[in-house]
Amino acid sequence: MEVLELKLALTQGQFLSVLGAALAVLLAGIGSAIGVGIAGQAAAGVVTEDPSKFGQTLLLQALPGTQGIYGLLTGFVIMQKIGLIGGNIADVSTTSGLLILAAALPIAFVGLFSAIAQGKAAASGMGVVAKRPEELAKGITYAAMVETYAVLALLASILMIFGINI
Amino acid sequence: MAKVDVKKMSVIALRRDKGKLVEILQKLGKAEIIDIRDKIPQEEWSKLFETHESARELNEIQGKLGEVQFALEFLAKYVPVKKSLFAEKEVLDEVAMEKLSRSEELWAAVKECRDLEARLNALRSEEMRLLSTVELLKPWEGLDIPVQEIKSTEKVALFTGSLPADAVDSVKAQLNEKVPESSLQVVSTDRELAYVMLVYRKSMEQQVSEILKDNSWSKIDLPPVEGTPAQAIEQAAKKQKEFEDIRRQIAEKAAGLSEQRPNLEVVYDYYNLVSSRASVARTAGNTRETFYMEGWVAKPDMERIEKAVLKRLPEAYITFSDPGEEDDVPVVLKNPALVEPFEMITDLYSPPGKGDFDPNKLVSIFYFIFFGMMISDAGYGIVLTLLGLWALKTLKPKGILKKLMGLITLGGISTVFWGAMFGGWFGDLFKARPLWMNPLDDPMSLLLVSFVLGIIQIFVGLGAAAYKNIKSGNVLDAVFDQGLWAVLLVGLIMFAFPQLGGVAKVISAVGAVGLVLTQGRSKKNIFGKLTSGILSLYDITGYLSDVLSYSRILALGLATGVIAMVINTMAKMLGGGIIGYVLMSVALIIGHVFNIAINALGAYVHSSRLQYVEFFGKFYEGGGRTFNPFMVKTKYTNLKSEEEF
Repeated sequence: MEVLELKLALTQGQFLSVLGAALAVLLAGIGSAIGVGIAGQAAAGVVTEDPSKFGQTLLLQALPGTQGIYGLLTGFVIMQKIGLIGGNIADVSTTSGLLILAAALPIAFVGLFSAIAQGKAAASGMGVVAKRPEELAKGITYAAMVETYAVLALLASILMIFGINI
Repeated sequence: MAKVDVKKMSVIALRRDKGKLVEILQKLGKAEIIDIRDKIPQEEWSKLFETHESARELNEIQGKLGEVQFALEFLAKYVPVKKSLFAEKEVLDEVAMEKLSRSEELWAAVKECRDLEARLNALRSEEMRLLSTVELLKPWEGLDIPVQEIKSTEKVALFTGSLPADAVDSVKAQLNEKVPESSLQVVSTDRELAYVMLVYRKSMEQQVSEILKDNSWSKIDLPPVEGTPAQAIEQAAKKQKEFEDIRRQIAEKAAGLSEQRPNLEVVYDYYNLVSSRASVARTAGNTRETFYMEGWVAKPDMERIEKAVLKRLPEAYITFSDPGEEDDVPVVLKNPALVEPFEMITDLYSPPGKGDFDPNKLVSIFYFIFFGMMISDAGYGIVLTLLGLWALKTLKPKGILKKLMGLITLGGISTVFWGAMFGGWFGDLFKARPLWMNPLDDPMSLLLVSFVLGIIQIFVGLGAAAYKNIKSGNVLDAVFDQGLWAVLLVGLIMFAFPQLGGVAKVISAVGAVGLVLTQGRSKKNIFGKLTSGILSLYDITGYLSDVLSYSRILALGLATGVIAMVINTMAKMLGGGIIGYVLMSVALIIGHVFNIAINALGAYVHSSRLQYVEFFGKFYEGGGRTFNPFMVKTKYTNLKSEEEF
């Protein structure tokens, strides 16, 4: 009996949508945390040598943080969509719930992995800051190349969510 | 376009006028000095000029500069610099600076700084010694014997040392058994070791050492101190206090010396000025009575430099010539004030190289549009614009900082425009009807607009490449490489409009066939020609991904708007009552400041990327070197010229 109830709950549209929102925030957030962490370690190394480079390294460290924001943003759009924020949760069908869950996946997974990769690129960019601080923009550009894919995933996720009718 | 011609300036003048000439050039700040010592080989040099000038004068100045810098850094440690970043700099002329540099008080202060530093260092090493003594004595604190008395006598051996804590009992037992009249006193134990004092008759040496050897005994010599260990430790603590007092005295003295800081700053700038002059003077080639010097100048500045030099040094001979093929000519750009800030974007990529024209006018238009669309919030735009204008007005920045502030101001204006178009005023904080449309309602239209903007920029890029080819005489390259691609792309785009389907097929086919036939033209045999031609069509994917890349304009714009909404929603949850409103305001301010910062950074980075990868990839090579004129560079003060240059 209990198994059946659980099964019912798991296929409920509301649950699936919230799961989608949670995944977007969760995975992209984890990715950003790792990425910012990697970049931060390298930044600390550079600043040990030259504390005046704090601002520049901070800029570079912030770059892998955007995926987490994109994840939050997607989660927020989903919450808004199903009325979770207003307080009146809409009656979401199982199909719509699954669709929303699927729509959250691009930013969730691309966010996770691209933030980590971007963190590594940013960490290497710290070397640029250490040796040739005037070339900071190039270090930033390399890291930003990675972010392109997170931006594309965000776009895909959001367009899909906008397009789903509940 | 806006690349200014650069000429090589050659000056010959009397050697006694060298200092004067260098000073004139520095104050004009319009010429980049060429170090001819790098250019002319040694044998040739010795035929033309006397041997290189000694670096004695330069070293002397740099030595003084180093001293002043040391004093400034030393003082900064004790008396933090309170001057705000935005304080106006003192304006001084060089005579006043020079006078200050001879001030006895100032040099006395510098010497005092050195002395204090030396005392501090001595103090530090003394303290380290003390600390290590205390560290050594700590386990022996319970020993009630003056340290000097812990030594063997003629017949009795007395040692201090350590044993593993768990071995003490067995050593005691063995000693009791084999060595009568011995004593093992445990003074203290820590986790691993027992610190013990051992007394025995010297005649039993053999037996004792056997027992000890088996039990990892290690002898410890106590440091030579007065009194018992406990007394010595107390003494050390007293000393430590004294050190603190001395430190405080030194800090007070340093605080007193910091009165000289404004003067030290002036003198620092003075020596910097003079040392840069001295190092430029050393680049000259000398004969007995004259010297020769070279530099790069922008063509429009030629006349001014010539006039300024000849007015003061009528005997000087100055000519301007075109740079040679092998010369490493710097790039001088001249753009309208509104375009100038965008030079920063191009410069960060790479200044225009020999074959490039200055792309900044094109960059400025696209960058301006993209930056605004990526933030697309009128409220944020107003904040950015005000911030930029305020910084330009109060900080009076120079160089790249000035360009950055200009960029923020202009970007802010564009942001206000797009924000108003899309109805974003701090997200949905202030509800305003969008002048055009709300991207959240119809993201697909805006996506299309982003693509169209991208296609326009790509075509402009192709046009720029064609222009470059035509200018360098390769008209055929322009037709084949850019023209045919333009034809093919136009054809492909026309497929998007069903009513044009027929024409689209024809045009794309013309373009594609043309490309297949021409792209392999550099290959020798027919097979190679065809393969390269067909493979070149693969570049279509490149163009496709280029266009898709512009979707980031929409994505970043949406991101700003939605994050702003999140901030507003969360802040409003706090509302209610006076405290609620205060909290709400705080949350709104912090949230929106964060959003502005993160999105301005994002817009800067991604607008740049679109220029670098999608746009510059089509036509721009870069590789130029920025013009770096020899000029007055001061850190703390502004130099007032005693005469107009």
